[in-house]
Amino acid sequence: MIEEINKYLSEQMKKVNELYCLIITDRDGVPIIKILNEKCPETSMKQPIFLSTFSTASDQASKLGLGKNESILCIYKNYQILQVNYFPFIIRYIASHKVNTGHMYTLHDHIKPVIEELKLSIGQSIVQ
Amino acid sequence: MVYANRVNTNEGVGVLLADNHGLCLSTAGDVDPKSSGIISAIAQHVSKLEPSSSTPVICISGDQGKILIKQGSNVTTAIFKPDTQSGS
Repeated sequence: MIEEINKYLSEQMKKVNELYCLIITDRDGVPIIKILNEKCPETSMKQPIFLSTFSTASDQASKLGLGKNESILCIYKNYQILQVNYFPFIIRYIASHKVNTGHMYTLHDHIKPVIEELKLSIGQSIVQ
Repeated sequence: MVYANRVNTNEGVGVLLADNHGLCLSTAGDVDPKSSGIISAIAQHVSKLEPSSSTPVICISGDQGKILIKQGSNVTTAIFKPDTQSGS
């Protein structure tokens, strides 16, 4: 099943120009699905803190009085990183700074049903 | 806004404005703001067909109507027009 999801996500990823990688992790930053191309920055893979910082940032952002934080978009000089809270997963999109942000958000909406399937199959074990 | 008043008088018509990042700036009428990313991406792709000329007006025809897209310097505008619409 994971292979099928991988294949589907890889196809979907190609639709967004300059999108380098898509990572689905649990709340601690442990990767469950990782799809990347050669342009993906190595630091994002090798530094475990990169994957776990979002949970903390999202929890803090939820305290701003605007309800529960859903996503955080970080724009850097060379990269854009979109991180979405999708309990019990965190979905990360790493792309070039030139990427069409709205298209990346649309991609997220498109892959939601697949993530739901993943949630049904392995989500319970992550929550426990 | 002028376009909002126009849209209000034409049932089914919608207008969407998106920035260069594909983020929705404003909508009026019957439009899903989530389509801003795709609208902007289409405009960016099509403008690459003839980079030397000014950005074209893109017309997408479907069973239920047409979508007209025009990319400006900072804003991409899309007009959603159902087939039943006449004139204006």
